[in-house]
Amino acid sequence: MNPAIPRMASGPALLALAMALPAGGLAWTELAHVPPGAVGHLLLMYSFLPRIAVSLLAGASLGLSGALLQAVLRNPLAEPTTLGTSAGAQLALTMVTLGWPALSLVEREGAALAGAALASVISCGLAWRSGLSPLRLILGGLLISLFCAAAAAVMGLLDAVQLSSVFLWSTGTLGQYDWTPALFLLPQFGVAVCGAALLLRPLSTLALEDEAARSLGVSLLSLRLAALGLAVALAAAVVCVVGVIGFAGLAAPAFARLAGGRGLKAQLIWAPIIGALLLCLTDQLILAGGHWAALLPTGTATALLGAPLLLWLLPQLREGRPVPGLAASGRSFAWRPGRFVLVFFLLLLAGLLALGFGRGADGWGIVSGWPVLGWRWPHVLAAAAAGAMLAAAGAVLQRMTGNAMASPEVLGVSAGAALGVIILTLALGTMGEAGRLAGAATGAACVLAVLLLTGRRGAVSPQRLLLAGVAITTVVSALAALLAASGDPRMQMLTGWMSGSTYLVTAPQASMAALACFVLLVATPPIARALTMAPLGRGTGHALGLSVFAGQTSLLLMASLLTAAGTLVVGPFTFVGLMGPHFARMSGCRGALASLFVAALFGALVMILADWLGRNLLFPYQIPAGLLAAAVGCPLVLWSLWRSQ
Amino acid sequence: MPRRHVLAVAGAAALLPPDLAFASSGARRVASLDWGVSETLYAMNIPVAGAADNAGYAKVIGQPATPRATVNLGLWSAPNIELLQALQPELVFIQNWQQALLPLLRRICQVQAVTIYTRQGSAYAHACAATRAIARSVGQADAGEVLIARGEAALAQSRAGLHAQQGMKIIVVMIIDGRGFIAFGRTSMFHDILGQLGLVNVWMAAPQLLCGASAIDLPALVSCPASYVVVIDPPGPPSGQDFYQSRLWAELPFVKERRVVRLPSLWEFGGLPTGYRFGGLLGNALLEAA
Repeated sequence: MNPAIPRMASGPALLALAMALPAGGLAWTELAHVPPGAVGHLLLMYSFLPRIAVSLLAGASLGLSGALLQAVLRNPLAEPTTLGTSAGAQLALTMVTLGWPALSLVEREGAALAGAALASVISCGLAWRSGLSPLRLILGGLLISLFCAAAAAVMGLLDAVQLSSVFLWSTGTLGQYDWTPALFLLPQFGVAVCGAALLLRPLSTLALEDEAARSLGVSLLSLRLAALGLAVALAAAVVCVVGVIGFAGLAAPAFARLAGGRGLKAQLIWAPIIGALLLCLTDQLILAGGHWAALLPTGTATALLGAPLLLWLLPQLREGRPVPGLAASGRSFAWRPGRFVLVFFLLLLAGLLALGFGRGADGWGIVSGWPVLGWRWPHVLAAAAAGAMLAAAGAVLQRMTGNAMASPEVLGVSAGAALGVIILTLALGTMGEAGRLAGAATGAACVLAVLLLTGRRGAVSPQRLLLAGVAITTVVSALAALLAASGDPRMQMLTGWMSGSTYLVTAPQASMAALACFVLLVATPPIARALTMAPLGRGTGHALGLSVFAGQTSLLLMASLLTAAGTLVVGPFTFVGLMGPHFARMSGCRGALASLFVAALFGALVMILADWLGRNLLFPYQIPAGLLAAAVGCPLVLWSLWRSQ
Repeated sequence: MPRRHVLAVAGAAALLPPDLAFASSGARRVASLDWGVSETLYAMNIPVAGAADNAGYAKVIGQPATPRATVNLGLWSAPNIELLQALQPELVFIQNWQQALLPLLRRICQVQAVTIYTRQGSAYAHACAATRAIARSVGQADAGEVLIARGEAALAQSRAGLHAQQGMKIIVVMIIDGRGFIAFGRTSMFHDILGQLGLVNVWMAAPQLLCGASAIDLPALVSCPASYVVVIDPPGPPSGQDFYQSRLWAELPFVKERRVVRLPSLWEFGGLPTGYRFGGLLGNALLEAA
């Protein structure tokens, strides 16, 4: 927090000006490239100007949507995709493109809108009976996003060439050939601005605690619903016309806040303005970059440019109010050993199933004999080890942050590992396993270093950690989408690994993964004390005479090592790190160390089953285990969330 | 490892009856994990025991069709190894970008990697060399020469028909739903085929994509000195039809002046058969447009 910035509008206005000037300058120089005469006029009217209009409108819509969501959900991490809106839209679009390829753009836009709305309704439904509790809403939305992304990725993987234009679309291309998208966005944005103006006063009371707001006579539920509806409609409209624009909805309100626009009114005014200019500037930078930059969709560029900026600004971010509890309960009771044995038995059973039963050249059958087992055991062992490590990492992170939506994916270490591999492949071209390993390890280590540096003074703030992780993950998922869109066949080998395939795992790799899993899990008891104390907060830790920083650093290190080792095997987007701890919680396990081990068991179980299903479901096609774990596991977790209300 | 290998062969042999096609021809049992190699093998009438993603091949390439006896091995980025082994191939073909599969495939049989698209040199020359190497490896060197001779004869015939168009300047673009435009440069297959038809490719920008194409924006496309703009639909089902109905498209100079030719979808990473098909389609389309 910078005390030099007054609590007036001058900060955000200066920031807006700092973005508007270069954007305008770039647009002006771009105009000089338009050929003179009738053709130039045509391009100006139907390509250049609509593009500027759409970038401004989409950016403003995302900014307003983000500001509304952050206010309603009381979470600075909330953004238009938090409710699953963009993922739902993308899944719907992928499905209609496969089923009815000849649909017009308008019809496909309708389908995307329906998917976006459905995803949002489901996530709201999950939190309905708890009065739309912010944390439940975010958790549900995140799970739906994961599910939609996984389902869309499975379809994309099986239909990569056919869906190339869908992938291009999904990464946020702002190119225009008429005014339809701009004219589609304009009225929606206008209505949303009026709605936000009407909601301003009642929303301000939301900044108070629920009880205080209720005593003022505000209907919390309808108020939240109205604001959420507005935010979702805005985000869905943007997804419909330009695709997924990573980061703008998160960055715009954050930048407004960092520049001094902190109150609700300031947020609702400045977030759209900054969002509009941010997107416009990014898009103009891409246009100015010539044809080498033209292959980079703007939605990817916003993520690539915005994330480092946010990481840089992060230390100035005011500590948010801690999100009211889930998972963070300090209660701890012993778990009955009988259940532990039961889960272990299930794990063995799943392992036998995965090894011995499946489809082959002659259909379903029990397999014995070395050749087939020789191919299978590395997959099964690697899946189990990776699942156990990622779930254990998830358990540590959820404990540290007191937040049930924390997982290795959110921390960004998985993403960092993937980034390392991508960069190395782009730089060196085709490479062997050793290169892949080196790239992943370097990437994971870099993210770890950034995270440690971010929190080097005092204790590592859980929220700051999550925000940094989200930034890195956004970059990597944008890059992954870009790789899928690039049509470069070498990249398809990479996307296979990134989507969580155990396909290329060799016997030595699987053995190494199992060894790493064993060593790291054996090393957890010494940090059990830090793990138990983690949710109690800084004050309690100090009072008990613990070194909070040392404790949290050891936990961070453990989580990162577990994540890196797991990611090297099954890629960055296996959401088993989220599911393992959740299943452990569902089964009634609460003790710090016990839940870590039970989570690891469940993680291994989920991954083994996912690996088996992936090999057999669409035989001879093989679906990556990580994608399947997300596509099957997310609805399970959603169902348990629904039942636990 | 040899004992394991022997056992593997014995186990798989018990599962599968020997394929009649291979027993009669005496040719080597081959599998292809790349569509460019697959279409080349099919065009040479060489029996293929297993090929990657027959369903995708049917949608994207289609011609020549996959023989019925050829087993679908799943995705070319992750072919089904257990199934491949059960087919007992003696030789499996991959493209050089699939080298990550080498450690797995070498445990089954001999692997031959072919290279067509490299961002350097001529894709057509690479494809010819690859075709000859493939034909030699399966013991039918003549089949490769026949494929090339027939293809070049067809191109020469098209060229003779295009006598009025000789030296004409052409740009070949792929338009992805009206937003993304790529144009094919000198390391693409299409560039070489244009040359064989006696046409001149005006897009000489450095290749960005492995297929030899690079991004192009509308102002550059409009101001490029091409007599004809050849638009290839992207592989797969038609997309972005709205763009071709838009005012901007209708008003573009090359559309107004009827200097545009639209071709059905072609795979930009194809082998020789794709190249020859492009030549035939373009020759006919230019004659119709004239």
